[in-house]
Amino acid sequence: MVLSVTEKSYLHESLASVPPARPDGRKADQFRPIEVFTDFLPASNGSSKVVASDGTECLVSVKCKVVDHAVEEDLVVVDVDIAGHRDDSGFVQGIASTLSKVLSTQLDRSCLRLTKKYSFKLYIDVLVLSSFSHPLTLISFAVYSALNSTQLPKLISSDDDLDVAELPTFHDYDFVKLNVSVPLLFTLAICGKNVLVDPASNESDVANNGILVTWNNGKATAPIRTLGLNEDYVSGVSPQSLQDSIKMIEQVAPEVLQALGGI
Amino acid sequence: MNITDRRRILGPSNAKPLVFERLESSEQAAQPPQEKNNENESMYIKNGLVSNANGSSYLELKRGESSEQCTILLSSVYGPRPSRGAFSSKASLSVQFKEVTIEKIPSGELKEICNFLSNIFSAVINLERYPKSGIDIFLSLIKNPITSDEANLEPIIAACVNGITLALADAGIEIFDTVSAGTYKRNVVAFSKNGTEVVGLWKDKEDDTANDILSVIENCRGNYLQNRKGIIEYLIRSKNADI
Repeated sequence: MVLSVTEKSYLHESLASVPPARPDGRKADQFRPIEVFTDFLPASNGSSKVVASDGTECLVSVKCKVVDHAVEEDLVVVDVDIAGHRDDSGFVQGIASTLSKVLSTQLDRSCLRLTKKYSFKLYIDVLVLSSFSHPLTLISFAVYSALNSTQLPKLISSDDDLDVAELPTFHDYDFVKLNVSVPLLFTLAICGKNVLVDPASNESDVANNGILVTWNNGKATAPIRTLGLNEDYVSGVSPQSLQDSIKMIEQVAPEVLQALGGI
Repeated sequence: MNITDRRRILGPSNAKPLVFERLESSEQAAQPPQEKNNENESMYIKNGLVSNANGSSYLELKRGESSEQCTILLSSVYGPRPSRGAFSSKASLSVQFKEVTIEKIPSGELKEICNFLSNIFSAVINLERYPKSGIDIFLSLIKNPITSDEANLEPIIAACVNGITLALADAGIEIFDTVSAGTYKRNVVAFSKNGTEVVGLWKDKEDDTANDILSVIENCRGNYLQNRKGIIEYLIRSKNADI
């Protein structure tokens, strides 16, 4: 929804006040309720759908392929498609590049190792059906639940194939669950001195700046960077707000992981 | 004996061969490069090299003595020029980054850098001052310090921030502050308001700085003050030279 200048100014004032008054009544460190569905696409190894309360919807499918890891360097390929945005726009390409960099560098390659010669290569396809706010947090939740519900074919041939030229053979119907720690990406909005987690679209419109924080293996890691959420209200922020946002993620991320793990 | 060449089209009869004047060495010596040796880092700045742009800056950053570790960046600003179509109460900003020589940076990362830079400069340029117009910034990386496969983008991003600020100043576009960026290990922080406000933070690779973001910012601030001093000194000197 497009807000008028006056509405935006009112919203900005209330978000910058102490404590922040968010339009949907959330606390500063509270996420929007989401619905998560997993493992419903029969043709892919893992899938998930995440629907946020504002109608933002994100689908992720994980497919795998057996490759010679001496030949193929990249074992994770991420493709992002956001409805309403051109594929070659900076917004979509930026999100795709961030995601593929985080996933390809931070996913443990040994989890994808099949034999001494072959590995699984994961193709992660992200489709955002409708987005109102910055979709990165939601995409990251969807990728997390999709990868955690991924079932890979079970190997029945020997896993030492360096000497014998033998292609891996798989069990007819048994699968093995992919066990990998997946990084989560959080977007936060900074309004005045307040830090707000999971900003909705109207909150993004009046935020002074956005922060992207990545969470992996129990700590906040790189990439951490400022993120443009709008063009009207963007301004500099105090270093303290940056530290506050990392602290806030350190508090909420374990709870988010627990909630996502319960699926 | 008068022999005329009938096989070629000759110039007019009073044509004279082209003779170039000898370059005067005194003119070159008049403008020594701005050297500031801190941590073996030196910066050479020259504004206004691109004649058809509204403002431009040429930046050469050297780390150490070797010419290998050298970043050369040309930034040009076009605008504010009228934008067609729907009315907009403020200028729209676009940043394009291009590697002029061998392309080593993946295109997705280039987009990320452009998004990051345009976010910084939408906070810095007084866009309300230029309604119904567009400001386009083009960055050409002439020499890339990356030699290995692993991309080390941080010095390039910092150079981009400094280069754009200089080019904007050259174009006479209103900016709220001389923004500059400082690097520390694998972090880049762009500051404004004398280092009290952060307009951009880029941390792409994990390093040993752990989670203490405040000390990272503090370390970048030292580098920022140095870079900003170089920029302002150059601007004042070039202004005095004009008068």
